[in-house]
Amino acid sequence: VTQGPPALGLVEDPADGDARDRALLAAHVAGDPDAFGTLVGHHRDRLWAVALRTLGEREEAADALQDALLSAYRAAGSYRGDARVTTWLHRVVVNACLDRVRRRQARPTVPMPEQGGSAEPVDKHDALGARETALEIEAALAELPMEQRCAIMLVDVHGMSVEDVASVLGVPAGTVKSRCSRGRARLALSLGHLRNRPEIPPVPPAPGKAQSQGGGA
Amino acid sequence: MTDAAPTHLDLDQLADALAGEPHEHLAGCASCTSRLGELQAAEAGVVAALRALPDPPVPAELADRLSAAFAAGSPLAAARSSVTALPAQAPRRRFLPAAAAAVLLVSGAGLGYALVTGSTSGDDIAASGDSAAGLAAGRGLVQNASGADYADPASVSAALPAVLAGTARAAESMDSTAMRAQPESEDQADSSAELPAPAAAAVPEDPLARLRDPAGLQDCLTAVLPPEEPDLRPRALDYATYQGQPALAVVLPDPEPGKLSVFVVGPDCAAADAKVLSFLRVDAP
Repeated sequence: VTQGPPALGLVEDPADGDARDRALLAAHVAGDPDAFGTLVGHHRDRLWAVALRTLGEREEAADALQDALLSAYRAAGSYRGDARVTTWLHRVVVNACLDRVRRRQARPTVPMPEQGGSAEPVDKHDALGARETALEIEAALAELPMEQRCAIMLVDVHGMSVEDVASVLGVPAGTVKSRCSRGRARLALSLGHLRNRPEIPPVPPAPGKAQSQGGGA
Repeated sequence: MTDAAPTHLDLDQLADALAGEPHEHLAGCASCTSRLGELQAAEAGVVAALRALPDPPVPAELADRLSAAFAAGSPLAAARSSVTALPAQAPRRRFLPAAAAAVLLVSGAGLGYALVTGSTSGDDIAASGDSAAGLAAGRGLVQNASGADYADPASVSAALPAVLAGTARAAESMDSTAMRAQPESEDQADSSAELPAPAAAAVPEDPLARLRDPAGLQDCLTAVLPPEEPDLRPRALDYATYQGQPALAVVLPDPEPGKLSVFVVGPDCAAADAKVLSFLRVDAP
């Protein structure tokens, strides 16, 4: 199983854990039974947040995350070191989630889990009850079209670079920027950061909420 | 939705302008320019609020499932599950006990990637229970034998064009080397003492012979192909190796354009247990 040598030139900042992640991944590929679990442990919360915010429904997000991580577990040998490990993991998880969204769309007979609609994405047990604003923001985020939500989640919520997100989503960086900007504008409106002047037409709500195509060149 | 002022930029257009897309209208419209400034200011607040969002903690059940899956040892062990165990279009899966998780996880993982297909490929393929057999045996799928090792991405990439073209034939070398390479652990040696001695075997038994037979192949593909995707057919079959062991690679369409999904299964692949050795997604040549 090949895993080329770590691309040292691409490891920007040791403090962000990428060197550690690469070592863990290499150890996993070499047969260390604990390495992958340790690696996932470092990113689990963040990846869970990605799945939950992308899919908006806990059980499906859990299924998607475990599917994705097991796929990564087995595909670790194909990791080529040209992206940071965390970017690679994000890509696997986001793709698993988007696959599910596409399947939902392809199968109208399958009940569509209620996507936005409420503050559902945030569990009431998440000790966020006091964080009214966080709930509001999560709810507003859940109302965004899927593409915009994904871009904003990765760039703004998780602080990934536009370039990394472009790599994760498989779209040009300009598309990521556009999706982020459009999504932020909608959030600004829905969260009351922006007065809704009558003479400026707001963007009509995307049909089907999260499954719309809205946003992005 | 609204026809209030069609000449002004709508919110998306303003957002695009903010993202750097030039817009002629802005130069001559004080209202929109002002609006753009407001949006810019508001955006900063939105970004700050988003950045402050806490990550929701992983549910304990999910953490347990993941731990169990990764602690289960090799993915091969975890993969010894029937893909068909996954309920088709099921009632939503609930959180499972950890013990069951590892089993279902793997089948789910494969399906999640491999078994979504375009919905229009079933032109002349019967959506019957034996469609897998029809696809595999009767639909002209070539039984490639590329000799590739599907644990080696480079080997797979090199072999894939010929495999897809149905022209990958290295059967002779594959059969013999695969047999010789087959290691037997001590505790298995007794029960497999009947295996032909490599040196003496003029015609070594083909470990994949069962999967070359239409009935055996059907049995295996039943496990690999999802019952709810009757239209899905393999793009190619490759009687190859995985980590030096004989294995069948089933190349499937992938939901992502330009990709292919590959299930690598062992010689014992059967309806009750696909014996998935590996699952990979590769770039289509």
